[in-house]
Parts: sequence; C-alpha cells; structure tokens
Amino acid sequence: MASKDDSQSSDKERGAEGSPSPQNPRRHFLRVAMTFGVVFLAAGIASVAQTLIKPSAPPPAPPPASTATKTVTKTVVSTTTVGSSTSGASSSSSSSSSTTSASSTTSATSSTATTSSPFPVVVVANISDLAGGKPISFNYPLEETPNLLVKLGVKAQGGVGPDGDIVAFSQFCQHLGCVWGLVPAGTSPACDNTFKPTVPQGYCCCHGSVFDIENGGVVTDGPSPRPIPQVLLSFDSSSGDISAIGMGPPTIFGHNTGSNNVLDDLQGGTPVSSA
Amino acid sequence: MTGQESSKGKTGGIAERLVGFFDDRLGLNYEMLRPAPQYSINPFYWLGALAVVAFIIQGVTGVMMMLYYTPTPTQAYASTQYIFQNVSYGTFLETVHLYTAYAMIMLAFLHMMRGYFVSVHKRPREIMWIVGMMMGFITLGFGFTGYLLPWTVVSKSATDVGIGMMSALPPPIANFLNFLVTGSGADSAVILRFYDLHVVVLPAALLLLLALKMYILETHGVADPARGVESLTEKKKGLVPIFPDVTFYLLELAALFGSAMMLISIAFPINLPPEYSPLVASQYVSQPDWYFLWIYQVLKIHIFEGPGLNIALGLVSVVFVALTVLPFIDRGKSRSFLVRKWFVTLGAIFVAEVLVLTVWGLETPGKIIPNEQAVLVLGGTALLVALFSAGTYRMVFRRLPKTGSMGTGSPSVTVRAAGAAPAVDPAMTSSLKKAGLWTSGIFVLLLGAGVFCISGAFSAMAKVIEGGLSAGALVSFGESMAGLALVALASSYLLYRLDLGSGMIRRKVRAFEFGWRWKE
Amino acid sequence: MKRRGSIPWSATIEEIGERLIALLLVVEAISVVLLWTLNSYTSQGQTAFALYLGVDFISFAMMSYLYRNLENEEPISRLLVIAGCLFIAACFFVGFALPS
Repeated sequence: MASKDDSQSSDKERGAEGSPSPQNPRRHFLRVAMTFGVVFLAAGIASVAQTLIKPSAPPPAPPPASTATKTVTKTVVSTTTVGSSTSGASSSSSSSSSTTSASSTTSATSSTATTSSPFPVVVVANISDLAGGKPISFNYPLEETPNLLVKLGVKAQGGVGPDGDIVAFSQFCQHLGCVWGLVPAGTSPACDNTFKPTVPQGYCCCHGSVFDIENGGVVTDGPSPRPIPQVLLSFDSSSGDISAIGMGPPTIFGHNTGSNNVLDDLQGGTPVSSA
Repeated sequence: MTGQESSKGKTGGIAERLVGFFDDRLGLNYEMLRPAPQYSINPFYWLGALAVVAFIIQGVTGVMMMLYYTPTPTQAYASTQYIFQNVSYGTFLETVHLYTAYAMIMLAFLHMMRGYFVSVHKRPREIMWIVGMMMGFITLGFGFTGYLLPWTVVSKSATDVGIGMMSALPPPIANFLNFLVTGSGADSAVILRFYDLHVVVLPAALLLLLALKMYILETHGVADPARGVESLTEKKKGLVPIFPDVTFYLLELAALFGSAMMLISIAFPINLPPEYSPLVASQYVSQPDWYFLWIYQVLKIHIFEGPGLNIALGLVSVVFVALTVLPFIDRGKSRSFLVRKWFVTLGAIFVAEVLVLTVWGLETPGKIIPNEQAVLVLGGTALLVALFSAGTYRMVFRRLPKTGSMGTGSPSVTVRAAGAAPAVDPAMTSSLKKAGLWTSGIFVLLLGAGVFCISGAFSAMAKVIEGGLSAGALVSFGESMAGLALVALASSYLLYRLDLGSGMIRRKVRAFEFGWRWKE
Repeated sequence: MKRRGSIPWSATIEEIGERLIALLLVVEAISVVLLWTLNSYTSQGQTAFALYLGVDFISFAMMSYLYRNLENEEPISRLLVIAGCLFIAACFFVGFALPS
C-alpha cells in the first residue's frame, strides 16, 4: 500500500505541501471544483425530497399533479347508504384551503341542451319518482360515475322543476372518492350521530365532508378540497321527465380531478347510452 | 487529495485535517480500502456496483412512496392511485421505481454472466459467487413481492400464478414458503406479508449479504483479467487510490445511471392498470413480469401440464442450483477462454435460451406450447449456439497459442492476440484493444439481432402449422432469413477483423482497410 | 484514440479541460437552482424536473471524467465530451421549451 502512495502521489504530495510548483494552483482549483460538484450533486438529489415535503394537495392557483391515468376504471362499491366507508386512501393527505368560496358551479338553467354538446342527454327519472324527498341514484355520463338526484323542497342553486328544487350531484366525494350519501334534515347518518343538519346535506362517511346541496354543493365541513360537481338537468314540464344534459365543474373524482375541464368526465369509462 | 496522512493531519489543507480527525477517532482514512487496479476502471467491472446504485434509488423512491401507501386489499389500489394523481411528482416516483427495478434485475443478470464468462468463481472466490447468487435470488424476490403491491388486475393475477407455482414444490419447501408469503391465505394477510418482505426483510438480507460480499472483495481484491496479468501494460496494472479516483468513478457511473433512469421515466411514464376484481381479472391473461417469463414459458409446454408441473419446476430448480454451486462444478484451474470451451458454450446456450424463452413468452400469452414446437425452438437454439461456438473455437481460436494469456471476456474478441507477438509496441496494443472492443461490440450486437430474427423461423413454422401460409408466417420467415444474413455478416466481419495473426484474409481484401498500420 | 492526425486534438482537450470543468460546474449550479425553484406540480413540471436533475447528474459525470483523466494524464475521448455537451444542451432546451 505504501508503494502505491509513493508512485502515484509523490508529485501530488509535493503539490499539496504548497511548494511553488506550476501544478499547484491548477490542482487546487480542480479539487475545489470537484468538491463543489459533489455538493451540487447532493443538493440536486435532496431537491427530490423537498417536493414531497410540500403539501401534496393541489395549491390554489395551478392545477395539481394529476397525470390523468385514463385506464382507471372506478370499481368503487357504489352503495348509496351513508353508513359505508369504502375505498378511502391513506389519511395522510393534508387538507388544503377550501376553494369553495369561489364556487365554480355554473348556474344550470333549465334550458335544453345545445345539439353540439358532447354530453349525452339521458332521461334519468320522472318528477313523480322524487316524491317525499327520497334520493335516486343514477349513472351519468359514464356507467362508472353514479350521481344522486333529489327533490329538496326549497329553491336550490341550479335546481330544475316547477319549484326549482330538483338537483343532482356526482356521488364521488372530491377528497378521496368515497361515495357520500344524503342526510335529510333532522336526521343523522349512521356513521356519525353527532351530525344533525337542519337542511338536507350531503355527508361523506369516510372523512366527514359535508356538502351543501342547496347551494351548488359547496363544502361546509370536512377535508374535501372542492365542491362536488353538479349535474346539469333539464325538466320537461309536459311529461315530467328529468334529463341529465351535462356536468358542471369541477371534474368528477378520478377524471383529471381538480381541473375544470368537464370534458374529462366523458373519458375513462363506459358512456351511458342516450335514452 | 491523496495527501500524506502519516502526519495525521497536522499539516496539509482542510481535507487532510478532516480525514485526520476521523482517522484518529474511527480509523477512517484514505487507505482503508485497497486501491483498485487501473484495468478495473471499466464499466464491465462495475455492473454489480450499478446494481447497488439501483437498489439505493429503489430505497429512496420506495420510502417516499411508503408515506402514502397502505398495504390492505381495499386501500392498496386507491393509495397507489393517489400517489399517481395527487402526490407531487407521484407518477415520476412510481415510474422511476418500476424502471429502476427492471434495471436492477437486468444489471444483476449481466453482472452474473460477466462473472461467469470471465471465470471469477474460481479459487479463491467460490464463496463470493455463492453469496452473489443469493443476492440475485433476493433481487428476484424484490420483483416478485413488489409487483403485487399496487393490487392491480395484472399484478394480483400474476402473483396468484406465482403462489400456485410455489405450492407445486415439494411439501417441506412449499409449506414453508406458503406460510412465509401467504400466512392464513386471506388477501389482507398476503398483501401485508408481501409488503413486509419487500420493505423490511429483503432489504435487510440484501444489505447484510452486500456487506459480506464487500468484505470478501476487500480480502481478495479485483480479479485479474481472464487473459492473465502478463498481457497488461504497466499502466493498466497500476493501482488507483480509492479516494478520490475510484470514488469519483463510482459517482460518475452512478450519476449517468441515475440520469438515464430519470430521462427514460419521463419519456415513457407508466399508467396504472385497473384495480383487481375477479370480474375484471377474468378478462386478462395472467402472466408474470418479464423477468420470470422464461420460467413461465417452460411451464407452458404441453408435456409439463398437470402432474408434469413438478418436473418442470424441478428442471428450473436444477438450473438455479447448478448456477449457485457452479464453483464446485467448474473445477478447471484455467480461466482462459480457450481452455474452458465447454463451459463457455454452456453459458452461451443458457443466455440464448433465456432470451428466446422470454421473447417467446411475450409472443404467446396464455397459450400452451405443443411439444414439437418446444423441441424445435429450444433445441434449435441450443444447436445453433453450439455450432457457432464450435465453429469459432475451431476456426479462430485454434490459430492462437494456448497459453494462459490468451482468451478474453467474450467469444468474439481475440484481438489481444497481439500480446503474443512480443515485438509489438504498447501503443499499438492499446489501439488494437480499442479495435477489439469495437469489433466485439458490433459482433455481439449483430449476433444478438441475428439470433432474435432466427427465432422468427420457429414462430413462422408455428404460424404455418396454425393457419397455413399467411402473411404473418411469411413475415416471420423473412425475419429469420434476415437473421441468418446478419449472423453470416457478423461471422465474416469477425473473421476478417480477427484474422490479424496471419493477415491472410486482410491481404486479400486490402481495399477494405481502415488505415491500421500493421507491422508484421 | 491514437489515430493518424488525431494526437493534436486530445492535447486541445487537455488545455481547455479546466475551463470545461468550470463551465460544467456552472451548468450544474444552474440546474440545482432551477430544481429548487421549480414549483409547478403538473406533469410538465415533472418532465422539467427530471430533465434538470438529469443535467445535474450528467454534468457531474462529465466533470468527474475530465477530472480523473486530467489527473492521470489519460487520453480524453473527444467524442464523449462533445456528445455530453450536446446532450446537456438538448435537455436544457427541452426543459425551457416546455410550457410550464
């Protein structure tokens, strides 16, 4: 081992001792440069970690890191009972500030759909089915995306019908895609008997998100970062049929979640046939 | 930076004083690890180190994903999906993790084959080889356990197949393995055990074996090149200090490897297949991941159906066991290529068969292979490789003197035959060596492409048997003709380039000279 | 490669070797700064991130290659140096050309 040192580093050693050899400043510079090089290499690797320490819920302005995996078929158990708590992801997500104040649900008027809309027009129920405030679950615009249709009894934002109180919303909670259910006024869901609203609310049993379905599905409690998408409806006063004609923003959970491009709701599943 | 440490840091710059500090207290100094010989500053000697780098990348990306992943049947897929969609750079993490896993397995395989052909498993490194083989098995175990964790259709069905295969092993082994990986058999137990194995048990085992292997490496040092130390120039025999030269070389290779993985991950991001449910799974053909495909393909041969499954697994086990105890099978003293004819040929056949089986498996998902086809393809490949090897040994290597200094790391390169002519000056040898590298590289590429295309002949026959003379069969046949042409081209190129001993062919085709100065 | 007429070229690399290392260090520093300030979480952001990290790694690898061979007076392959620089330039270009 000593021989290696002697043969290889004899002139280097002379340089290191600081003797005025022409090699010395060059070698010194190279060593400093390489040290910095290794430091920057480590800094580059460390930067990978810092992107994960930042909150992973999407920041308010730019859209989140959703790389739209279009092959995802939602096989979530679509029970409409409020007592279920299926398919929740790990609870380590942080809740970001709710952007619900700037509720971006469009006011769905009861105008008939334009013929150029890519969304199918599907009759989902008749007004007579909705008596008594009982909700009806229907799939729209894909077979894999259930929605809840209900007649609230009071005028609601985006409501259709003679009283303007028939609304429908996507049943996937925007937090982690659990299926939420309707909690009528004065009752409590099976999973949380402390919650007793005075007006009908949507309640998600997985993590307790509450949606005000009278006011466009805004989030009034819980970790959901966005309001639930509202289904655009159309009411035919002659027959009493209620048709779904489109989706309002934001996108349904699992379909480029968080963007406002409602056309993404049409991808990644089996479309319902226009009936 | 290779300053003197005998003064223990009293003089010298900051670096020397820092090293002196740690040397005084911990014994960490510049001379801790033995220096590396100059000829080992060469990527071929670092394939194993790159596999370790891949393992480190896996660890880092894996830990980051562990923050979000839940190993239960109901939440595994959802949490994986969450990583893809909602975690910053989640898709990037997952893609890097997958591709680096593939790279790690491939690097381990290349490392093993390089070691095999250069005969590092001879005395005194037999135990090192066995330790290495165990690390290889652990690496395959990583692939197997990790594949299940996303709980997608393809991964769960593939793992079910694998667990079924395990149950077909002899009862004591099968019972132990079954208990280890499936516990009670319930889905939740399976995924939890796979997760524990993947994240705790296998990494710990790998790290322990790695430490052992590094210790053995320190004991013996880098193996001499197979052609013997005499053929090296003085410069190449010189020793390179671990710090800073070898350290920087390792960092350099690691940086290149890391950047390659990341750029590939960005160019080809992965999509998550659908979640596992029996209904959806019934529409997918269950296949293991590519690194197990060669085993699976053997099991798909008709003769191994039913009770024959045990025989097939036995055969595969024999191959694995033979590789593990190779040092005790290959007892020859010489490491030279020329002397190890049989083992070199056997190794080449093994590599060719694994390649052919893997490609074949990709092309025939879910199909049972008729016996005749199996014999044709596998036997044909073996025969082809054996013939080629025999031809090369007879025509090319026969000319060269059978001293210990002859024979190199691949069947194609014997340009270092220049070492046999003592009148050649070192500068010529090094440029000839570069020529040799180019020759061998091009030859291996052409040969590989040729073998791949020739497999088209067999698939052509299969297609003809299936559906008569169709366009597909003709295409496969054309591929095989192209393959034969490539092999012929490769052989003639090789022969021309190697025929530098006598210069006979060269003199006849002087028009193709590329400007080499050949002194007779 | 000691080809006819090729010897003067490696000497040139030797001369500019230190400057090349300094330049590569600057490139590496720039890429690290970009890595830490890139805040977008979109898929474009992921691509740019990977590209800059790749630049970081490759420029370090080139620095290390030049350093080792300069110290040991081994020949430096011109081809590798040029290819590496082109690759870094391409990565930077793609990284900036991506809409963020």
